[in-house]
This record gives sequence, structure tokens and C-alpha cells, in this order.
Amino acid sequence: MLSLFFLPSTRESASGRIYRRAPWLLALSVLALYGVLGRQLFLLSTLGTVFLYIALTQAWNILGGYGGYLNFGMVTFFGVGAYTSAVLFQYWEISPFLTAPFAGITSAALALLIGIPTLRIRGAYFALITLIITFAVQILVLDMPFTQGALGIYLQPLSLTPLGVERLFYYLFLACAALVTLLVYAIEHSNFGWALVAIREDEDAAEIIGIRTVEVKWIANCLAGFVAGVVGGLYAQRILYIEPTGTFAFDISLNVVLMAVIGGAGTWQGPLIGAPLVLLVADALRVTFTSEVNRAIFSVIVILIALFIPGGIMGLWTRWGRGRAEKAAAGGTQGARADEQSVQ
Amino acid sequence: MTASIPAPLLSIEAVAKHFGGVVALDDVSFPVQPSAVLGLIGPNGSGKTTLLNVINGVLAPDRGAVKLAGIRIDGKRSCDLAAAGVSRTFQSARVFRTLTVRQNLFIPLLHRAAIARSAAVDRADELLDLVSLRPHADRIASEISGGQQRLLEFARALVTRPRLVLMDEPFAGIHPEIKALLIRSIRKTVAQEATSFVIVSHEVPELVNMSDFMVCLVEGKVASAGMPLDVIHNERVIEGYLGRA
Repeated sequence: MLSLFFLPSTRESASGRIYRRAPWLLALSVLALYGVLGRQLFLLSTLGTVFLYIALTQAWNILGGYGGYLNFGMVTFFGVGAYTSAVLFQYWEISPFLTAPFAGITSAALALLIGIPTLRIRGAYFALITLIITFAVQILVLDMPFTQGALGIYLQPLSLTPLGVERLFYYLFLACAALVTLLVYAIEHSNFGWALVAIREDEDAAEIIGIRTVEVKWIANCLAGFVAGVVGGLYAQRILYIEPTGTFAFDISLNVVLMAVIGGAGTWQGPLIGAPLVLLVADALRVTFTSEVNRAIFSVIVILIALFIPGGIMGLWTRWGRGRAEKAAAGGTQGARADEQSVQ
Repeated sequence: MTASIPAPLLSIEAVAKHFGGVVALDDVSFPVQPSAVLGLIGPNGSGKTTLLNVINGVLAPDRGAVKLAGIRIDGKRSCDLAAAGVSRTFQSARVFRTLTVRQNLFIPLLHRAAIARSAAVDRADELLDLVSLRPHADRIASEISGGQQRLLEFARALVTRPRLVLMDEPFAGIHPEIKALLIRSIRKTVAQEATSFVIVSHEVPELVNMSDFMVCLVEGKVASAGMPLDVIHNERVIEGYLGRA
């Protein structure tokens, strides 16, 4: 099902590709270097949170951005991942660093279980169901004895200095963000990615041209679940205490959707732009307006972006690039005509 | 000695389909020969699109069978039928609107057996030439005209060399030039690729001209089936669909 780099979306030369990727690679190198040189706990912690959200938003992007399925339940997979690691630590004292992959598998299994019935439903109904499932899972975790309900689960702090802890999670979440971005980039250039795009554009037409739409959506949902589960597992060790209300907070799902939509859903660059931007704007508003007014202002900004930049920042960028290319092509044609006339 | 009749590519055998108390199809039977165009006519609500949906796996028949080259295909998924060589276009063109014209043709190719990049590009360009869309290959599909989108959808249906193409109202609401181009392209495909077509249309004169066989449905039943001129002069077809001049 997955053949990579079969048909690139643009006819770009190798040097062009390197030129376009260079800023991203440079940013990654600078961030990797900052992990060693940086000593400000607040900044390391904030950047760690940005990386965590980039990974989650990229995971959402697979089905939500490329496949067009608006999932408001990413926090379900994230929370289940966090609880899987925490429960394994609570009862068997296995480090969440070791159980994070298992947390991913648990969340992927849950994504499959949820996806089998729900991914046959389209549009607003699907979005609504993902929302309901989040609340249902949260209630389930509150009521189950082995999750310790509202009391939550405490994890053992790492025997590191505060700076050591921040650096460790800075690098872990940076690695997660980079790897998931790489995965999404690969998906974008694979026939699996094209299948998702076809589903987003017209699911009936996609099925009729031979795409096994249901299976493609299941796989996309499982991939998203796996990533969110791994990130959730690491997050549990990061904050050392998890309880249902905070771990399954709807804000996390909402943030992820906003980050993807504002950055540009259905592009690998979108979450890289959207996640820091949303966190930056939200934090700036929180500092500037201490009352709940900051949330209202944030909502207005989101509405304005949805109204005037429907494809997000990447959509704006793509349209600008296309406009420039068309102008250049038109200029070239006119130039050629002028040359012809001068010859005649 | 008699000439042998080729086995039909598609057989519709006593197909029935109900929606609650409404009879959409009732005991519908006819064959579609290889390399042939079958015109399907009938008044609105006579079951033409329902029949295409049954052939295409969108709907399962309540009774009867649909066979492709002798193998039952009724109840199979559309994606499996695409792999078996059944393709389709819709009443209103359903192209992948945010992709380029050429990318629209790549997607079906990507979901078939491994195909080299160059072969995929060649095949896509071949189809773009057939429907005169090559100059628009790199334009976004939503930016080309409705008629061109219809041509693109047709090209997308052909790109994987299907054995059977189902077309639902392909000539409705398009410019006469595009209609003529579409008809030429269908004829060329039948001749060169041995593809069969089932075409639903209200454009009876065009359909009579291009069809090898014609079926008229009235109230879910076959009112007449046979050579196009025989069908349009059939009393039941005149009564139930065409009317008297």
C-alpha cells in the first residue's frame, strides 16, 4: 500500500529541493544546538511543549489534514498513552521511557477499535463522535479502579538536576517532532498520502478509482493513535502526575486542530508553523490580558484566520507562489511574443 | 455454419432493487458485449442511475446477478471492481478539485500494480491528449471549466485501461464542442482499447448514433432492448419515455 516518493507533486530539480529544505534543516540544527547551550529552564520547557504539540499536530494531520476527517479526539489517544505508561509504572515499576512504544501500540489499537465503526461516518457526524468518545474515555478512566480515578497516578521523579530534566525532555520531544514530521513528509509523497488526499477530495470517487478508502482511513487513524500514544507516554514521565481531567483535557484536542488549520492542514510544514504560532499567541495574550478576555480575543483571531486564510499560512504561501509562477509564465510568454515580433 | 456470438463482457441477470416500498429495478436483464457501446435511456426515476450503482458495487441488488466475464460481481466493493476493470463517471463531474489535472490521472495509476514513473507520466499524457487537456495539465482541476472537468473525469476513468466504463449523463449541460470531443474520444477508445461502455443519457439522437445496443427502462423494467433504431421506435418506449411528435 505504501510506495514512497513515487511521483513528486512538483517537477523540482535536486538543487531546488535542497534549497527549499535548507531552512528547515538549519532550524533543526539550531534547535539541537540550543538543547546543549541553553540554560534557561523556562525556554527549554516551553520549546519542549512546542515540540510535543508539533508531534501531536503532525499525527492529527495524517487523517485530519490529508484525509479531511476532522478529529476532535486526539487527546483520547494521547491520554490513553499517558495512562498506559503510568499504569505500567504504578503496578510493575517499568519506566515510561521503556513503555512509551507500548503506550503507542495501545493507543493505535484503540484507534483501530474506534475507527472501525466511526470511520464509515463522514463530516460533522465524525467530528461529533470523536468529541463524545473523548468524554466517554475520560469518564471510563475516572471510574476504573486500576487508574485510581480522580486521585490520579504519581510517577517517580528522575534522579537528574532540573536543567538535566528539561534538556532530556527537550531532546525527546524534539526527536519525536522531527521523526513524525519525517513520517508525514514520507506520507505526503507516497501513494498512501495520495489516497488520503483523494478521500478528502471525494471519497466516493476515490473508492471508484480503486482506493480501499476504509482501510486507508483505518491505517491513518492507527498511525495517528500510535504517535499520540508514544508522546502521551513520555508526557506522563515529564509531568510526573496524571489525572483524568487534565490528561484528557479537550483543550489539547482543540489546540492540535487549531495548530494544523492555522499552519496549513494537509501539508507537512503546517504543524511546524501552526504549533509555535498558536502557543506564542495564546501565551502572549495570557500575559497581556490576565482575565478570561484573552480566550475571547484568541477565538476572534482564529475566526478571522478561518474566514480570510482558509488554507492556513501554508495555503497563503502556496497561493502566493502560484501567483508568482503564473506572472513569471505570463511575462515569459509576452517576452517571447516581443522577441517574435522583433524578429519579424 | 453459424457465426459464434462472443460471450458478453457484462451480464445483468434478473436484477431487482427496492428502496422501501419503491421498486427501483424489477427483473432487469441484458448483456453488454465486449468493445461495444450500450445506450441506456429512460425517463427520470426509471432506475438508470440505480442500475449503474448496482453494476458498480455502490448498491447490492436485492435479487438477480451481475456478472463480469462470467464471474459474479454483485455485492463487491467499488474498489475491487475497479481492480477487475470496471470504471465510472458521475452525473456531475467529480474530479479531485485541489489537485492538478495531471495529478488527477496519477492517483488511479498509483493504486494499481507497480508502474514506473515514466510509464505513468506517458499514460497520463496519452489520456490528456485524447481529451485535449494537455495544455491544462498543470492547472488546478477546480480552475478549468465544467466541460473540461467532465473530460478530465472521463480521462481518469480510462487511465487504468478498464474493460467496462459506466457513464452517467456525460453529455448533460456541456458545450457542443466538448460533447463532440467526448463522443470522438469514446469511439476512439472502443476502437483502440476494446473497452465497452454503458452510457446513460437523455441525449437520444447522440446515443442512437454511437450505440451498438440500446436499453430503455421505464419504471424499473426493461421496456425495450435491442438495436438503437428498433428501441426508439418501440411503442412502449414512445409511450413511456419519448412521447409522440
